[in-house]
Amino acid sequence: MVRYGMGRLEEAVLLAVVRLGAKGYGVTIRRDVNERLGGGERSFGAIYSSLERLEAKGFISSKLGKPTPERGGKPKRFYKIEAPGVRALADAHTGVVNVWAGLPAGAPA
Amino acid sequence: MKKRDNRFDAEQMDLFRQGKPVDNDWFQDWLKRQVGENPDMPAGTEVLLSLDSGDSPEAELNEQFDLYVQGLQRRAKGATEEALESMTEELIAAEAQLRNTLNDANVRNRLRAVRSLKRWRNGMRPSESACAVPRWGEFALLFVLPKKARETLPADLAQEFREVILPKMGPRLAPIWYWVQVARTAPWMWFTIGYTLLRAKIGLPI
Repeated sequence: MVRYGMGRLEEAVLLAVVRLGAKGYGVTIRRDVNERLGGGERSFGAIYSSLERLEAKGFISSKLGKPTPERGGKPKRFYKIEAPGVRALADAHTGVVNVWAGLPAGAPA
Repeated sequence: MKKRDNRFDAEQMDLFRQGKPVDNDWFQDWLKRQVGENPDMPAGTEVLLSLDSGDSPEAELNEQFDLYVQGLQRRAKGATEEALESMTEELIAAEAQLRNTLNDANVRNRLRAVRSLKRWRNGMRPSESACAVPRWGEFALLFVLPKKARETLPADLAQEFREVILPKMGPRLAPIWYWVQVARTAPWMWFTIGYTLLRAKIGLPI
């Protein structure tokens, strides 16, 4: 059985998909990730490959929107989180909380 | 009414992106919106907005200087030799100031921005248009991207180019940003997709 994990970028991308809801497509997801992660710009390639990986794992699904004249008649691909994605996010959050739990008072948090 | 305005806006924007002549009033409004929304819009936009004549800013500066010289000539009639000498010095100083102004880097940038914006307004061929996405870059993406990303990624890149990069970096640097994105996008995508498939195939966590 294949186990599924998530890198930091994938986690940020998945959270961006959740946060943006119906407005989540390549441009908006990249802006959200860049804004929240900081430390330099992520390329469209990095974002798209993370989205591909998340889709391959079944965490998200996508569908093409309607072509618009503003984009030269090309459509947007909108992303939506699926049940395994929600579970993965919950696991990731629990993992982070567990790792940081139990530190003595005054430790950096 | 709003729908009709939106359609007109979309039509004009389409013409503008294709480098075809657009409605002048619409263009002025669009420029004002750009200045309002993007404080980093190239300096000189305001100059263009305030220019009613078709003259270039250089011509305007030279015209001002000519008027100044004519004024001096009028004053020179019947002036004493001492006054003429002081006027000559004044003229030399003014000429030097004009030359410095035209050579000043900031002024040059402003003039360049105005020229570029004027070319947009007057309509240009798409290959020369400052607002056009580099055609060869778009073409290259079609070859290097996986099939699924071919339809949407170039359009996303073009949208970011027009909405954010072009107003922020200007028509000279924006195409460089585009090519950097092309170079960064393709290898990353092939590598990560290949890596994922390989790990899945041999049963490792992906």
